[in-house]
Amino acid sequence: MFGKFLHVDLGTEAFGDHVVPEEAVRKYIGGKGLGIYLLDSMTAPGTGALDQGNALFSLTGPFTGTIFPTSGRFVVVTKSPLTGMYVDSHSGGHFAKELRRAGYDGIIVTDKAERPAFLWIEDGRAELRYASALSGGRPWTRRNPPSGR
Amino acid sequence: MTDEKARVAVIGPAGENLVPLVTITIDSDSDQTRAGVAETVKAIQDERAAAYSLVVCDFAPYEQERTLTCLRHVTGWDITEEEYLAAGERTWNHTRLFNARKAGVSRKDDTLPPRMLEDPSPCRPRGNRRFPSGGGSWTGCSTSTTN
Repeated sequence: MFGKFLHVDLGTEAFGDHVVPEEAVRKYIGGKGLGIYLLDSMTAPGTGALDQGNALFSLTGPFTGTIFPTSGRFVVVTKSPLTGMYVDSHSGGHFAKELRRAGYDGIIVTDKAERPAFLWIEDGRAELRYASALSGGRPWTRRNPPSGR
Repeated sequence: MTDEKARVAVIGPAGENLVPLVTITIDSDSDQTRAGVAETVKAIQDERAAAYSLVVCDFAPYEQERTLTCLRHVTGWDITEEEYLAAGERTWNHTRLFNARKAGVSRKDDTLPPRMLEDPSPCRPRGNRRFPSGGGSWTGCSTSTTN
């Protein structure tokens, strides 16, 4: 059943599973559709894009991780810091397939971390690791983060 | 066609019957449009939003019924084509509601950026003309066409 999300609250550093009701999954399928469903249900009116109340979603679709052609993709959804409106952006690569193989159909990130951190997910386990060694660099120099804290 | 002044804008019956994937064809210097374009754009938007919810590549032209057969196998749903396209329409509508209720977007924002409305196009097919705002006709001088 598609719709199991990893919810990470950066303020409390709490982790939990967020399972979207099947009725909603059937209405929105996954990816972009579930993105607006979750963004609308988890943000209040007046929330700024960079406020603690905003949420960041990474979503796969029902085909992700299968052999369906070009299905190895995911979409990031949030409230845009540029326009204040809904925004989504799609990406390919190996992340989406690996995320589903680790047991999750998507990730929900809420609140703010006190210091730079990255999310480590492995076979249904997730943890925050501090990323001070990565902070301040340019993205393309940070593609192979150190595995330690 | 022998008349050099003749211009063509073509949208087939598919567009007006909301077939999801159709093409609006215009010739190189046409500023004509006709009924059916808005419906076609809406149908394409709905279908694409559903595909973006599957999270598959935008540029791959899948045969929709086979895609839905795969979706039924993967999910166990008995989803119909109508339900699939309705999910895309729902996604658009929900996004618009979100932007209206939680992002302060209103009908006054239903327009194109100023540059597209105010700057004359420097090159063909709309050379030296501006896009008509408010449903008027094209303004500016018509340029000669060279192929």
